[in-house]
Amino acid sequence: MKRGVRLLSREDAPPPLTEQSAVHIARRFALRDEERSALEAGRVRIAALGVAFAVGFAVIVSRSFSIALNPPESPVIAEAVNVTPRADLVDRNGEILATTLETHSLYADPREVWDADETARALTAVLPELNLETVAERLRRRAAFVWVARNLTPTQRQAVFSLGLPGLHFISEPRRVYPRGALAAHVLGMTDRDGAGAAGLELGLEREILDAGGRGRPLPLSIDMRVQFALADELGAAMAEFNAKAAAGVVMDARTGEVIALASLPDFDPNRPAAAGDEQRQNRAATAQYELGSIFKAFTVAVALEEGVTTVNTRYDATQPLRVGSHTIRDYRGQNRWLTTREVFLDSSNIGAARIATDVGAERHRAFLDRLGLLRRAPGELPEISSPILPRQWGPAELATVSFGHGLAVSPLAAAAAFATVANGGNYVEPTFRVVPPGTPIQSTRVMSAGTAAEVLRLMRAVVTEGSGSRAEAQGYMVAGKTGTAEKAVAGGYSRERQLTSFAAIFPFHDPRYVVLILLDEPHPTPRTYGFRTAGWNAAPTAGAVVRRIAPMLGVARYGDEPAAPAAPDGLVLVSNAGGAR
Amino acid sequence: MMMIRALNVIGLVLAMALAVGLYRAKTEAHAAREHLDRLAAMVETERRASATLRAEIAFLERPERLRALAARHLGLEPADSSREMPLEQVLLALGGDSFAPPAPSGPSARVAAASPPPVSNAVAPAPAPPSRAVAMAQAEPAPESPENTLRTLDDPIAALILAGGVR
Repeated sequence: MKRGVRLLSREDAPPPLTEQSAVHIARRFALRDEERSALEAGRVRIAALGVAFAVGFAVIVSRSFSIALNPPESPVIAEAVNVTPRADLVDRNGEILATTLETHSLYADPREVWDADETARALTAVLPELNLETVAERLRRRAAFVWVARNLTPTQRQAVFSLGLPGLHFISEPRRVYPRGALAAHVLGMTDRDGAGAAGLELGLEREILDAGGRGRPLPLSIDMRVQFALADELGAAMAEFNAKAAAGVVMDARTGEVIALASLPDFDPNRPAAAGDEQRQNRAATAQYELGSIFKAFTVAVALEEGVTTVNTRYDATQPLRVGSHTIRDYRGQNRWLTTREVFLDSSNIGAARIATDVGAERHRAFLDRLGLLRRAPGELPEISSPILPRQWGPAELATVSFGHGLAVSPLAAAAAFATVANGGNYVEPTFRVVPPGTPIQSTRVMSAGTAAEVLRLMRAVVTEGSGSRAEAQGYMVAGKTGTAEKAVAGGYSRERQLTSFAAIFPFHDPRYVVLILLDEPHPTPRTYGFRTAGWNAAPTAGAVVRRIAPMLGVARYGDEPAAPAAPDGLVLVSNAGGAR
Repeated sequence: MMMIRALNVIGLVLAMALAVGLYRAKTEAHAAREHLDRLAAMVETERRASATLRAEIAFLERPERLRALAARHLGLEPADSSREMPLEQVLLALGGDSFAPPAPSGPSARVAAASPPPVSNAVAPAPAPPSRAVAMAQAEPAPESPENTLRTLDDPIAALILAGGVR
């Protein structure tokens, strides 16, 4: 049909009135037919086009209707609140120490609030911790946005919803929570309102926390929650028993430098930072600097042995107080006789220590303490770790007093790291709060020979077996240690009443691995200590109690259990192995 | 001429088919994206819920709370190294007849050892119980543990994020 139309167009047809024959007429009719069919074809096309348009419009109209009638589902995507989530902090065994929860914060648009007082009253009825006056004042402000309450629980949010008051809105906000409460509070620290690290490892490991959070992983710390609890628990018990002002403790793995536990009492709940005062917030194990007293004699003896200045049997004159410059050095329990180095250490003779240090010389003594990390800020990711307070000069008097732990104030963490060097065969390892996976090469610097370290360790063991540290013994765990009782510096000198007692323990002696440093601030004598307030009566038993509790957790092998070690406990009948002999 | 017409028609049909295909692909992609977003939102919701539950577990498993509960309901106290002995010794003590020795035995670490429990623990050491069953029967309530160890059982999260929440 189409073809015919094209060939027989109007121009091809003869003029209408020229036909003369039937043929011509027939042709005219034929032409009419062709013309009509062409017209019909056109109409069909127009109709088709019309239908197409109609269908198109119908589609558009129906779609518009469907959109108008079913409003599109509002995207349920959680409000994009925190751009980079903070990773959970977990202990070395994966126990949660800090995590982030979604909470609901209530704000108001005062322009939408009808009656500020009414609204405030209703709100305070539901949220009793709000202050009526403050809320009402805020709701009266000429602003578009005022905070009413932040970090509400789902239950509280529902309660506010149920009030049905206009102008109140919620946004969800992440909030850092510390499910273990005060446990390891000083290590973990806290975040500020906007979720950025503000103190402790939350600040010190900020980048790692955000990195791990971005990957959706928790960040493991070197802390062991169980050990941390045992340490804090025993410190708290000691603080109560001896009515001490404060207490601090560090447990460190001497081989890896990992801080297994670090506690400072009084402590605080990081979930309620506002409730904590400066006393609670201060990290006495890392921030405070103490003149630690006699535990420093371990380092004095170590440097003397290392430099070949003395042997354990070299004798020193401790017959009378030693005058160095304007100082007179006395012994707490003067023996008034000549003492060997071993006796100087076991009896904790200040005179003897000062004489040994004098023989070593200021320069070597100082260099040794420096290599032990005692003259600079202890490494570690805690931002609160403080630098030591150094003597102004290193003259004979300073040398003598530093030899028994006065005149140089260091953080307990730094002291623990120095003792870890003794436990680690003379190699100093930097303390760290990151978990060190097994097999990681450990960076260490040699401070003294393994022989010297072993000799000092033997002396420390003797302190426990036959000296002032006997109450630190933990059966089977072979504690080695040194007591320290330092008089606290007060205006115009040192106080006899206010003392700082400490005990540095290394265990187990047969395979030294862990260091425990215990510190009690101003312990008081009790009947059970026969009126004594020295370290052997308070810090040492505390250290022993800590070791007894944590050693099984740390999987320390007991010594001397193998064949027939402890006497058969009462009631445990040792049946002769008639049948079941092994 | 005919060829060109045919080509035009084919081209037109092809173009329409492509347009329809493109439209469908785009709609499908859009729907898939919406589905994905919804799923992501659900995952996020679930993640938050599980984070909340984990925090709750951690809160309820605070060592001091567990200790207080163990002391109150089970008569347990912190294990002491003197109550620990190597497996060989336990086996030796048990001999061939595991029922021969009286109560204070068994492979548990709570072999009642001779030495008294440590004195410095906050939980008052109960007199060394002859057996755990008896200890449980006696179950004298432990002295009130410090602070709120057993409180706030109903809404632990409230205990965590409540208070201080008002600026």
